[in-house]
Amino acid sequence: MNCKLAEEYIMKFFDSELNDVENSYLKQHLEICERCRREFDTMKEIFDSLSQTMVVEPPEDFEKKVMARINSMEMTDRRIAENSFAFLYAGIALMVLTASVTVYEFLRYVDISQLVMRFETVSGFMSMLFGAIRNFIVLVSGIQKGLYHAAVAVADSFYHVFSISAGILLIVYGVFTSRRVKANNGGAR
Amino acid sequence: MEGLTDQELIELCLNGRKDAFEEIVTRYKKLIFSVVFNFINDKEEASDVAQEVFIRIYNSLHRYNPKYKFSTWSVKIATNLCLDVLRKKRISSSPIDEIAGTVKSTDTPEEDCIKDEQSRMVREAIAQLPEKYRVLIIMFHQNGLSYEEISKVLNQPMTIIKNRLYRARIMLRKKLEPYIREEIL
Ligand SMILES: [Zn+2]
Repeated sequence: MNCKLAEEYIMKFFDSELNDVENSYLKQHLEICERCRREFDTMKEIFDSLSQTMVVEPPEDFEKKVMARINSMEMTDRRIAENSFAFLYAGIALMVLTASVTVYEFLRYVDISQLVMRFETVSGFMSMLFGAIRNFIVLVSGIQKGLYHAAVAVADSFYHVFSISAGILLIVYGVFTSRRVKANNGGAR
Repeated sequence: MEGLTDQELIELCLNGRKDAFEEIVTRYKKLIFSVVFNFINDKEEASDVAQEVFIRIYNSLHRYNPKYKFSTWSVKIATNLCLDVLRKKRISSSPIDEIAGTVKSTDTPEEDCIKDEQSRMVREAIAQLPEKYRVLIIMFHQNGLSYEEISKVLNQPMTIIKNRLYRARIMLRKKLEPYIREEIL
C-alpha cells in the first residue's frame, strides 16, 4: 500500500466507511510508515476530543423560558385572530350600512310604479332584477374576500394599527347609523 | 410524563398539552444546547438561539415523521437555524468584527466550561477556519450529522461536501500538528 491510498483510507476511517479488509491494510501501513502514522494520530486526537460530549450546560431556567415564549406567542396569535374578527365585523357592518342607505335613498326618490312601467314585460323586469341581485352578491362576496385578505395581511404585520382602524370603522358606522335614524324620523314627520 | 416515550409526548403536545412539550424540552435541551453552542461559542447567545430552536420544533411538530429519530430531526432544525444566524451575522458585521468576535469567543468565560485544554485548543483552531469549512467540521464531527443530512441541509451535492470536509480536516491537522505533537511526545 502506498501513502496516497493510506491517506484515502485515513479519511474513510473518519467517515466510518472503512471495511475490515481496508482497516487491516491501513493498520499494516501505519506500522511501517512513520509519516502516515503521525497524520493519523494527530487527526484521531483532534476528532476524538471533538466528539467528546461537552460540559457546557444549558441555563437552569431554560424550560421556563421556552414555555414563557411559547405562551406569549400564542397569546399574540389569539389577539390577532380576535382583532381580525373585529375588523371583518366592522367591514361587513359598513357594507350593510352603505347598501341600506342606497336602497333607502332609492326608495325615497324613485317612484317604483314608474320604474316598473319602463319594462315592457314582467319577465324582463324579473330577469333584470335577478341579474342585479346576482351581481350584488358577487360584488359583496368579492369585497368580503378582499377585506378578509387585507385584514389577515395587516394583522400579520401590525395588529396595533389594525385595531385602531377597526375602531375608526366602528365609529364611522355609529355616526352613519345615528344620522340614518334622524333621517328616518324626519321622513315620518 | 417521565415514563412516556417521545412519540407519546408528541401526540399529547399535538392535542394541546403544553406540559408534554415541557418534558420534551427537558429531555433534549442538553443535546440542542450543545449543538447550538458548537456553532455559536457564546453561552448567552447560544441559549437564545436554542430557545428559538424549541419554538420552531413546537410550531412544526405536526410535520415530524416518527420514522426518524426525534433527536436527528431536532438537530437538523437546530442546524438550519444556526446557519441562518451565522449568515445574518456575516451580512451585518464587517470582516474585522468577525475576527474580533472569534478571538473574543475563545478567551472569555466559556473557557471554564471547557475543562480539557486540548479540546479548547481544537475549538479555537476550528473557529479560525473559513466558514464553509468550519460549519462542515461542526456538523459532521461535533454534531454528528451524516453526509446525507448535511447535503440536504446545505442543499449541495454529497461529493462537494465530502471533498470540502476532506480539505477541512487537512487544514485542521496542519494547524494543530505542532501543538498536538508536543502533547503526544
Ligand atoms: Zn505512508
